[in-house]
Amino acid sequence: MLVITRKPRQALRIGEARVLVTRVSGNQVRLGFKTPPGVRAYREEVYATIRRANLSARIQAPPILPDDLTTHEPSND
Amino acid sequence: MNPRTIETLFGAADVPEQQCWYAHAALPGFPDERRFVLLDLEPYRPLAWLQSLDDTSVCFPLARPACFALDYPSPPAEALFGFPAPDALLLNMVVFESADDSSGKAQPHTKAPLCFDPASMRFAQWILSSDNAFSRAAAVERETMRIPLPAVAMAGAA
Repeated sequence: MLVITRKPRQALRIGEARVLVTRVSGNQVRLGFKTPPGVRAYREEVYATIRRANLSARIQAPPILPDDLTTHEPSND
Repeated sequence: MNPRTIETLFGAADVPEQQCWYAHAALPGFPDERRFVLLDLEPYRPLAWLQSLDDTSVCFPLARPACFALDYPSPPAEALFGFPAPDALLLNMVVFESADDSSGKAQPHTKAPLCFDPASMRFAQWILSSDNAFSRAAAVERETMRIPLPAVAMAGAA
């Protein structure tokens, strides 16, 4: 793994993406991202959640359809 | 250009080049799949099927948010694609608990709908933040839920 040391207001580049260290406070680092179109930055845990859901959505065989797709109660949690 | 024939879970399909969809950014979990086609099988409506052309074993069921009485704010098409996409349409992946579960429990993948732009034939996954979460919508007639996007029609038995 590449490890780079930066100070507040210093930046680094990942390809065309620019990552700026905006603030360091205690054990937290605040980062700003400027990315090219089609490249977006996410928190690792958010990305992992979406990745898991995508993998779950992949079907291995034609499913049996429910009579009604609208009976569940989704939540934003 | 002659259609390309691919094998799918539902049988062989002839895919014309102009009906190929391109993933503007790879879907999380599927870094190598970029070219897809939408399959429309009458027995499975209002679902459509996002079939990978790079790996024909990769296929996702999709539905309009209205199928699950979901409503989303307008997607940030310019941020997703880098260009305006006024006709972009959101679709949810649908997660089946089990393919052979006769109870047929299905859940929408609510937090990351796919945004399809028919003008460019590109799509991108919109990962929602708490600022742009979905809301509940009124129920919609099933007949109005068909997906109005370029798709390859196939026969198939549910």
